[in-house]
Amino acid sequence: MIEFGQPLALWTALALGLPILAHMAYRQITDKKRFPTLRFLRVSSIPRTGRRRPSDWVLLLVRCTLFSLITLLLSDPYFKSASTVPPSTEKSCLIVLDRSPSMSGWGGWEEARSQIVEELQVPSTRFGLLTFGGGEMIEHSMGTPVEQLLALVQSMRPGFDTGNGQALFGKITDLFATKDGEKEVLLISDFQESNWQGIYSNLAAKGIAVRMIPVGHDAQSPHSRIGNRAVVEAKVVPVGADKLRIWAVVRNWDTKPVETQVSLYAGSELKKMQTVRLPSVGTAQVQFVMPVGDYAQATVQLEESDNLAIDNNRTVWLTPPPAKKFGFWMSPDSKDEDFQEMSYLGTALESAGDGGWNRWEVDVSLADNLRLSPESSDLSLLAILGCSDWVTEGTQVEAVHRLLDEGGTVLLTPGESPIRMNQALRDSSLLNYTFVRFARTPFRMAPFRIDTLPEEGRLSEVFSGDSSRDLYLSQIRKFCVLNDYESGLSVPLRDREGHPLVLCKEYASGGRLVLFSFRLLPDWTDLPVRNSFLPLLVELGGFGHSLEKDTTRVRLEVGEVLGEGDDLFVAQEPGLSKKGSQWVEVVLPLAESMPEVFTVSEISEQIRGLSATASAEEEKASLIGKNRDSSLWAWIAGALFLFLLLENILAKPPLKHGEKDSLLHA
Amino acid sequence: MVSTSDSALLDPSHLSRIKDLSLLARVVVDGAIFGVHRSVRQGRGAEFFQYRPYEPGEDLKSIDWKIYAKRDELVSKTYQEDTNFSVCIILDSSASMGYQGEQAGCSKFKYAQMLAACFAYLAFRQGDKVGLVGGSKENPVFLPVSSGRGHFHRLLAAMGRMQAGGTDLSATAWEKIQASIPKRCLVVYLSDFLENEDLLPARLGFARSSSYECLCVQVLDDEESTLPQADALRFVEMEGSAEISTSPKLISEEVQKKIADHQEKVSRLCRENSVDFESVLSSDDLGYVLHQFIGLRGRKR
Repeated sequence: MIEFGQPLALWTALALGLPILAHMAYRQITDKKRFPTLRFLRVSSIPRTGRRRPSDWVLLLVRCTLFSLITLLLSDPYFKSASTVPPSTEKSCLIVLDRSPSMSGWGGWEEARSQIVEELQVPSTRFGLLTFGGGEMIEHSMGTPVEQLLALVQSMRPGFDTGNGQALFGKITDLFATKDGEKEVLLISDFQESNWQGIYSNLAAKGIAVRMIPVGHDAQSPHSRIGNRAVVEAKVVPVGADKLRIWAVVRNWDTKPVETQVSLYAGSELKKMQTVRLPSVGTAQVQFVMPVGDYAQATVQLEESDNLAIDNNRTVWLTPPPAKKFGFWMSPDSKDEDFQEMSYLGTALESAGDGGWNRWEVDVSLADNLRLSPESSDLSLLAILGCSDWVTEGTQVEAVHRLLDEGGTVLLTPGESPIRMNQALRDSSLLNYTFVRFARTPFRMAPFRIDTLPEEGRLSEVFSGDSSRDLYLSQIRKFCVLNDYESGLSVPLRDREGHPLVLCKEYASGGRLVLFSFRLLPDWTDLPVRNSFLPLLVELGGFGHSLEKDTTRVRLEVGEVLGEGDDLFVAQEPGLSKKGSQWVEVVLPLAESMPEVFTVSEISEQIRGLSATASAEEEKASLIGKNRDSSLWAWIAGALFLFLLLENILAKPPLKHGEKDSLLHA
Repeated sequence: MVSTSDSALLDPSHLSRIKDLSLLARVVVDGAIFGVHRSVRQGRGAEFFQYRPYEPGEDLKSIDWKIYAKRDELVSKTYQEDTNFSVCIILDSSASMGYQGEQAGCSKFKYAQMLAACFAYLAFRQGDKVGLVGGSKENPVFLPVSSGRGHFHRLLAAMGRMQAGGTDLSATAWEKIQASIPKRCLVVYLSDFLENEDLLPARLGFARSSSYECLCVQVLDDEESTLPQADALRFVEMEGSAEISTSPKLISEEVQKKIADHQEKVSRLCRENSVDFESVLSSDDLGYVLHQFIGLRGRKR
């Protein structure tokens, strides 16, 4: 049985009169008629040849069919199978409840609960429940007993997760059965602007009416709610050797300035309290100083109660995150210069901190263990100083390969015999290049200098302007001239004659093998004592990115995840936790603190549903039989195309005395 | 031999199928105007031509007194005049000449071409020199007057190669034409004279001299005045790109009057310059038309 999605469009069938009229009142217009001169002619009116009967019946028939097909296309026909279950006369109402954190403020949750209790009293209605935000999406199918729903609503609380509003609308249609008669969605939310601004749905197209009940709104200010302050940021940095500074940002969302008290709690005790004046719709900073080591965590808390209490505190770690480990390998018969080089590198790396926290820590035992067995290691950086053929002894090469494959970094400096190092690295498939010779400058002669860094590259970003001056002033008195290095190696540093000073090999795992062509010793270069050495080392080792995005101290918003597979961490509620070596801070999404809300009229534009005020008969009439078994749109569109083609062929002007005199029926 | 009454054979629609202009000219001239025209001028000359009865009023010097003494009859001696006469044919081949109406057997240009071939044949047969000038502004054709069979065939071949197209001859071409026309020349100008009639006095001013005779033959298609039969047509100018959408039924009478006025104007301009003007339709019997021209010239002489 064929039915129409847009039956009003059938009125366009009146347009069938157009081709009939056109065929009864056509006029002949020629194609071009070439004539010797136009000087004796003048423009005249073209007589219309009105007729009692239409001309060209075939073309008229095709054109009428064309208009009929257009009418059908606009009417959106579909085929409805005879086996369709007759629609139920009972109303189905799906209650959709917002459980996002902001619902706990401004009395929104209590209001929502009372609204639901009131709605559940409506007779002759089947109810279902769907919640979003606050963790998992709770769904109860249509027809769930009212008592069960009442108990459920009484026991529920808003969660800490904003939820995905768009996914919600995908779920709504699934909960309605095709046999449901009048379908209605009762949407209860505070319609917080930050959560609802990107959501779009067209429930009307699915025959679902939408009724919206805003809760927690202020009648005086329909677009914004008042009375909320929040701790929006908190951070801990070391101050000197034994103190910590807890730095927090407090925001006032009201249009009037307020004065409030901010406290610091540690070990469930009030440690400090400050009074801070918050500007209107602005922020103020608060700082507390505490000794190191007394407590592991602290909470910054607003003392004054406001309309949304959930964002009034922020907990932070007071202890630094675990530092990254690095170690050294040296020749079995190491000399003083090896230890001197180790000292330079170690000092530089240990000072590569962030905000005062030490981020690198030398761990000799880890390096020694790695040397003895190629097992997985917590070592992040291994520096092989005075590298030579001794590297190939035992399982050291396997250990290096494993470290690189696990994303670690290996630094190499040449030993006494660069030829043997060259051979060892090539045989162990670590690096493939050719050592040519030593390049040296005699005493008091001009030293080798680092060439201008290529524009494209991270080094040129770090060393730009004045900061590059120190690097370019670096003196290199001796280095190994390397040649014929394998493709895929990058040369981040060269001397002014183009000889590579550093070779770098990057692995897919993120591991990096860096070979200096000179030793980091005063006899070879003054680079280790320069200010530019540390940033150079950080960038060459690939630690620059990790410094920018600290992976040891992670901050997540509720609902975000860290890791994958068995190692997955899901941020469920604000607070502190550890995940392996990572120190995780989970915070409430800032969007939940924002007071701006949509009014019903604004949100209605985004969520298109059938008008809730429409009469039951109208809704019933429009909803009945909406289960489309198969749309005929594509078939009609195809037929329309064919008839359009036919009309074009038939409407071609008939030839009369050659092409010049062809007539066109218009 | 074809007689003038056998008009079917001289119908332009039949003649236009004859590709050989020489043959066409012979068919028309020998068939249609045999015995009508005087191919040789009689008058004073060195070579005796014939005797004829003396007409009172004639110069007494023409009487052959010896015959009178023998027969007691007054007989005049006539001599073949050494005319040294030339015929110059100007054939317009502009695009407008290419028009062929639905009822016409051939295009205006084809008709004018056939007519020109007949004139050339007449001149050739009576031993006159003949030349051809024509074409369009884009493709002018100049064939100086000359005599002989070879020249006659070259002239017909050149005429046969001409196609209707382009625009009217340029002013420079007309200057060249005027400079190349020899003395004692009959100029036959075949065109539709639909444009640039105001230039005719300047172009044909040479005809005012007694050394020249000029005959303008306007070749028109019947449809040019009656207009094609249709409710509405979009006319496009053949020598341009101007267009007019109009209803021929509504304006045909007006057009006929305008064309008649135009012909009258051209005729007046020709008369003022001692030029004979005749208008023919491309559907007219070619032999009859030629007969009329020869008769006209005979009457003038």
